[in-house]
Amino acid sequence: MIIIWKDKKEKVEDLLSRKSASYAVDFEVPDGITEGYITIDGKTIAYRLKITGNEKIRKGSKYDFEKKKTDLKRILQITDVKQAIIPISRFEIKLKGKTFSGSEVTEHAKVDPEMRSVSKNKMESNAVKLIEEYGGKFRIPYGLGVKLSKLKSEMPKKGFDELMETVGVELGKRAIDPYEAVGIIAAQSIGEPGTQMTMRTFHFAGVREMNVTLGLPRLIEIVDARRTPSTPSMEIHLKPKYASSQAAVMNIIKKLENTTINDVADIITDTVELSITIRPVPSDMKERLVDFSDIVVALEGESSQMSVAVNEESKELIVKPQQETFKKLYQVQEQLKTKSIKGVPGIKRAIGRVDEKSGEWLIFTQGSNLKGVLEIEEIDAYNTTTNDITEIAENLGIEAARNAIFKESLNTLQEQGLEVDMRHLMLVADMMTFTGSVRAVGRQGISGRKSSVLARAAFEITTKHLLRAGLMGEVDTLTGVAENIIVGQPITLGTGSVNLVYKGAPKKE
Amino acid sequence: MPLTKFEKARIIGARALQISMGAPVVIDVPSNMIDPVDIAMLEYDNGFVPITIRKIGK
Repeated sequence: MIIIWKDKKEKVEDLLSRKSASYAVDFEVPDGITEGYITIDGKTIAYRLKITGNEKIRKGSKYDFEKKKTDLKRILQITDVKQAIIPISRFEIKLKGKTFSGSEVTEHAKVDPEMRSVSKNKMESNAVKLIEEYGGKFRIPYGLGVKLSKLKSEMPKKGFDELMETVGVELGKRAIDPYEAVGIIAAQSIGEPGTQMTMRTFHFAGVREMNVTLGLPRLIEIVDARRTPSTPSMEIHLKPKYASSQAAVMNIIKKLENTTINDVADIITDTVELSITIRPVPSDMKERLVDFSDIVVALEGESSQMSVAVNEESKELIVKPQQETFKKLYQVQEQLKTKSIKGVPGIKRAIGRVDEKSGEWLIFTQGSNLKGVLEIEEIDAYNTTTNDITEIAENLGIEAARNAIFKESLNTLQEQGLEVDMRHLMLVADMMTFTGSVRAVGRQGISGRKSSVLARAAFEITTKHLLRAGLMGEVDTLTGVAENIIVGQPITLGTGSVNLVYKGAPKKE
Repeated sequence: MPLTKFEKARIIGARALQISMGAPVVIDVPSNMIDPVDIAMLEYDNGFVPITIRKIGK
């Protein structure tokens, strides 16, 4: 069993500095808890620890506290405090229903993620075997592995061994040497094709008014790490059971599309009586698969704002604001218009299409809500994606975000018929995510947050950075490129990275 | 471990500078070879350049 509680940062840092500690807490801890998680902001778990002991504090116990706090209830023996960043949403939390002063004891159902390697299944087994066979000597890229595995069956063994030897030599030659300026090469390799990109948006097969930003605007969006893309959209895959039947897909679409009261009913405001009448339109309700009771249920949660009276005969709802003022009436009216009855919030529209390659139904959506969609039973969570990178980072983690940045940028470039080596894009994706959160390229992100003062000053807003560094007494260790150019030293790239020493006179034989 | 292209270039460059400034050449050189870079490369290929690299302390 595990326990999650909220704590102050200073206290946790104190715990971190010790190997093990006795820690008094002001909430009850059930016996049998072996693992603890601490959150500081209430949103993400920041620390993980092991609990080896747990005893009740009785009056006159052997523990001596600095402050004679009386509300301390338990002493925990804590060891192995480690940093761990996990969003709390990842835990299936079942609250025990008791709230303690600033802390909550929670018991959680065992997190049991189903592990499944998605990519390996799609790889050719012969190629994988070949790559593993030669893995000790050199690393064969997968694409080459496929070609070689075909040759292996066609060629005599001796010839193939010779071939593999040459492959090893050639791969060695092509490897990037340490201290090669890969960043500059990546910047140029993406920048030049970028100049050829068009500024168009792509219309979604001409169906309704759905479109997706592509081309240069999309690339800029990815690289800027915008919070939400200008046209968020999802590609939803379905479990095999549902993927072939059109009726099932249409049902899921109905489940997805966010339906508001305004979509299925007329909202009539009576300014004399200060009341609002909701008159459902049967045809719209049928189209969206909404029941009259759905509307009633949806409005139940709003009882603090308004009083709802149901007229069963005429199937109408009469809503009155709690305070009978015109202003309140107006507010309630606005609230009713956007009140969602069913569907996933954020999904404005969903369209089902048959994938040409696999023949399976896919659902494309306008608007994105990865968390909400993944909770739907019929969805194949392994293949469902969104183009909202921040959302992926929040729900699936930073590695998923890295892959999303890489795939999105590669697709954007390929869509335009531009060929950029994927390793350049991988470098960009790695740079954007290696700190654990998605950072933009540019002033707000990578370039603006370099550790060196001179490097930041060389990039933008020179005087601000220099003044601030002077005031704060910052130290520049001159390890990067820009700093060393400014002070007139060789840069630590290429030949500048090499330190020479005298070997001694050559031995005469 | 083989040297990287940067390490090789840096060693040959340092040796060529020494030779151009009059350092004694450690191997027999054809009489028509007068470019210090060529001489340094010849020395390097035959393993006679008394310079190596240091990787510790970076």
